[in-house]
Amino acid sequence: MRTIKLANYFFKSTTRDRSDFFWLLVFPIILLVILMLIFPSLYEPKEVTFNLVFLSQEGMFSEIIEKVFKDLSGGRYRIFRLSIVKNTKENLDREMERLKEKKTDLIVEIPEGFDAQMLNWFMLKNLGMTASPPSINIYSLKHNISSESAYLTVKNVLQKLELEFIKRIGYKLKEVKSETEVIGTRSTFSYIDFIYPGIVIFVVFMTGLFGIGMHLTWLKESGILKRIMVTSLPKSRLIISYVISRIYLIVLQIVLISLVAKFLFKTTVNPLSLPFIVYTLLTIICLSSLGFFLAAVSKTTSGANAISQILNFPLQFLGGIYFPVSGVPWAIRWLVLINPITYLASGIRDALGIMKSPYPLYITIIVPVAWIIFCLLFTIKRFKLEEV
Amino acid sequence: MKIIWKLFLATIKIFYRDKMTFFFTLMFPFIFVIIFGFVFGTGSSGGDNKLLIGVLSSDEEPHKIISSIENLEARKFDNAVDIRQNILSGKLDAGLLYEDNKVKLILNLAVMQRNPFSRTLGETIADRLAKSSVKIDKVIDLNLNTIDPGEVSTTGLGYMIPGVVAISIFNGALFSMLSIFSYYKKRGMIKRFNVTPIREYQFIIGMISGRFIVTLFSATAVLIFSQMIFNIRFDINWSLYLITASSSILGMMAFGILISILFTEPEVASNIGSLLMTIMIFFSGVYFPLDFLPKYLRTIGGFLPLGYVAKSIRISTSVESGAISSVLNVSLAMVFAFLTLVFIFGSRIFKTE
Amino acid sequence: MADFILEVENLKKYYGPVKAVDGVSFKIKQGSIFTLLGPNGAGKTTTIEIIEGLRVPDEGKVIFMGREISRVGNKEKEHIGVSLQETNLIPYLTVRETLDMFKSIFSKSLDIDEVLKMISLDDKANTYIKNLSGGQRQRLVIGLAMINDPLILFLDEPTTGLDPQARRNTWDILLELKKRGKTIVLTTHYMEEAEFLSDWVCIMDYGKIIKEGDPKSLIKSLAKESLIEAEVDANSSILERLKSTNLDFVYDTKHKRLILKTDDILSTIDLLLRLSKENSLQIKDLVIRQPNLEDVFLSLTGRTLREE
Repeated sequence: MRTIKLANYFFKSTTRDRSDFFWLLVFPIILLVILMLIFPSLYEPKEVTFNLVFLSQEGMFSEIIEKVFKDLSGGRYRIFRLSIVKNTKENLDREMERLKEKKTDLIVEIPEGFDAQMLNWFMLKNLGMTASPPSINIYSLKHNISSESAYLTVKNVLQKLELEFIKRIGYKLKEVKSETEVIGTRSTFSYIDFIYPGIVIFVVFMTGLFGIGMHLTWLKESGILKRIMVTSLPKSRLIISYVISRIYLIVLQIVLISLVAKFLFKTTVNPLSLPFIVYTLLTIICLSSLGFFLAAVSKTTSGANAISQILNFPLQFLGGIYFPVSGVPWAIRWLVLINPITYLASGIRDALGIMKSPYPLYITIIVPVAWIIFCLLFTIKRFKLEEV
Repeated sequence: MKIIWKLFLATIKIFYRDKMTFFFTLMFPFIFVIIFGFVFGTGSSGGDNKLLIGVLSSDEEPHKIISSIENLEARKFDNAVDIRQNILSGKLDAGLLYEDNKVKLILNLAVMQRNPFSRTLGETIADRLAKSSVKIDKVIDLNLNTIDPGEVSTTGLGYMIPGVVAISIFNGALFSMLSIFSYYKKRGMIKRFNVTPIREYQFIIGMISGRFIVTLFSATAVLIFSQMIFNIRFDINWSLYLITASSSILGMMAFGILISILFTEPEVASNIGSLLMTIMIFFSGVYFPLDFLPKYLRTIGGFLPLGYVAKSIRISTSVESGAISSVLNVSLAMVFAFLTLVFIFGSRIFKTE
Repeated sequence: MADFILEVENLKKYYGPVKAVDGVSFKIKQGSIFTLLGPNGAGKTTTIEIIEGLRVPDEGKVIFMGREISRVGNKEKEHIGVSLQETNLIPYLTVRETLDMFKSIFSKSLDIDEVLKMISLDDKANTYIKNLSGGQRQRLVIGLAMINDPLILFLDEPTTGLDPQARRNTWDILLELKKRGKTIVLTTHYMEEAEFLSDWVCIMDYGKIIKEGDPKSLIKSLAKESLIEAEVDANSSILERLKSTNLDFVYDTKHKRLILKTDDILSTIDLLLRLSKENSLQIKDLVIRQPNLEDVFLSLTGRTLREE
């Protein structure tokens, strides 16, 4: 009974602290909402219309191309907002400026003599000779995702057009179909299914760093732990009640996040499924141990805060909570590889069928377990030495 | 006048003597530059990394075609199972199976998330294969010119760094004011000054000027050091940079003062500040492009000053071109915000009742 | 110069229904140590903060050096030195830098080394504030109050939270300041402090001054020479009996302390013993002593100074 009572007080001391309340309970929800507002739009662009400028030339081929683009920029599901201007030096210069100002996403320029070159190419081709193909100049803006997408779309259109031209002049083309299969996920990918387990890891991580690491250091530094130790309460009970209080906290966090994910964003992930529960438990034990380890190594609250802050962002981002991390240079790859979050995040996503883990499943369990053993052994040793 | 100078010196001393603050103000932006630089530097925009594609085909054609495409590299495989496994374990970025005039592109979800445009690869390769069947390489030569938005050509990371500098300016200015006007007030330090004949403007100028220099120094350090570390060359228009940075520091400081007046509890004020920064960072377009965001969100983002300041600093470092007048307008708006907020709320700083 | 450096007339400050200061008037002689004595929440800090210019009174006059002022402005602030109840200084500045910073605010000031010597911090001049002990910090706070060589110093609870040794050191500094002709206005809830230092004491309770005078005459006002104090568990019948004896007494029910005031110690003890026998009343911790300011407060309010 005393153990539970003490656990209740430990729990209250965290939830009544404004900062802890905010960062551990409110902020994760805000973060989830922000992520859901931004990322799905990157992976599943909808209602995107590009501003395309077409610098035209006179001539048959040029006009065919022009017409194709015109067709694509009409109707309800238009891809382009097209403006066609004559290809002159002034127009090109002006449009280049507009491109830099991001008013235009892409410029397609039919160069002078395009038609003649095209005719020439076909004639030589018919004679069985090769000539260098005529070129179309495309100008896109660097570091700009709209421009990049517009380019890829235009490229596809022109590729299809090429095939059309080839057919028109009488070649029998082989039909090559293409199909894309995305593996490592269930039928359709949805960002909420991807991010929801990530946010669960995030909240547990925050509790590990701040709700345990820093909080416990504070209890130690302020002498509250010592004060409790001089009562008749056995040390084991103290530890148990502290652990219980953290379980309250983590369960509350996960329930809150799950409610938002389930009812606001309609995730298909079932939080009551076995893989979810297993990996969540592993996450809780692993990242809490990390918190205890932190409290064991730091002497002052500000020291614990510094370590937490330094670990916080790198481990979060390089653990692949928000986006997959692969192909990073070795300078930081080691941080990915020793990071327990890397394995927890890929493990839980793999087990739920959201995204295939690049590591075998047993590794995603062994590494966190190794962390748990290391952290707990160190903590126990340190606390024995210090008596509190 | 002397007291302004002394307060100025004091705030600068506090900055470098308090190792924690010193470390965080300088190191944090770096941590972000490094993480995002490496993670996103290889992604869609400005990616220098090649995609490695496993090919299974009875003839040589697909391998040749893939090798001829920029940014792609092909490796031959003799069974599909191996390809799939290599993709799943992250050793391959994608796979291509070619059989019976059918191209099947196998993509790893993670690759698609990093590089959403990789989806169109299958189609490109299929079209190329069709053309190669009649021995035609191409009919039209697509000549892509990627135009640098500014005078200086830089990598994706280089383009991002000015934005990080803007974030570090915002962070520094906002939290320095919160620490003075909410933390110091709570701890009775402002009251102590209030019983001396110091004037409000002397106190505000003294306190602000020190933090101003400190924030300007750390932001500029981020700019200069990241140039060195990542071997990036900016062409910095120093006067434009200083105008932008200074006015932004002032504007955000005024905002910090406003928050510390509205939320007298230092903890609450600091949480509000952090929340505000998080929102601004996400919706500033510095780390994540906003182009595909729903319109209403882009409109909301349009009200947040960080995006404009980031742009101004990109213009000042010549990685983006833009009218100088637009930079000056942003600066003017920041100074205006500063003057208005300080004029309205400045006198409330000293209120002790 | 006027006889009284500071006069306060009918000062009032209400916070809603709470009458923090409720019609306080006093006059402070130049060069004296003037003390506001009272329990926590009596209105001492509010009163002193009004005079310092931190709060605006609802009613009343403040007359500073013979001139009535509506609000304490910068002109007056040049001549006053203040130590607030709780002052946190900037942790990463040194003692000397802190003094120097405040020195630069004033048009007239003392030499920093002189101040450092007076507050015995000359060996700590280059120590960061965060590394000072509580007593050293408090001395620095008083040093800051002296830096502009003020005519009058306001010290709000300057020794609260200090150990006896540090408190003695602070007293020595205050007496030294008085020797230099400074006027000191002190608030405290330590009666020993008020008794030891003050030339004039105002006892405050519930926003009012309930008694004032020099400490000796205040104590004398109790008229009796000695006090007999003991811990007894007195019930109402015993209190009735005591009342009938014509003896002057106070009974503090909370702490169960009975204080009898008397000129005739022997017969009073005799009476007490008789009472004890008749009612099988236990008497513990019996003390015979001289009255102090605490007794003055107790006889005026029926409560002790340190009650919260």
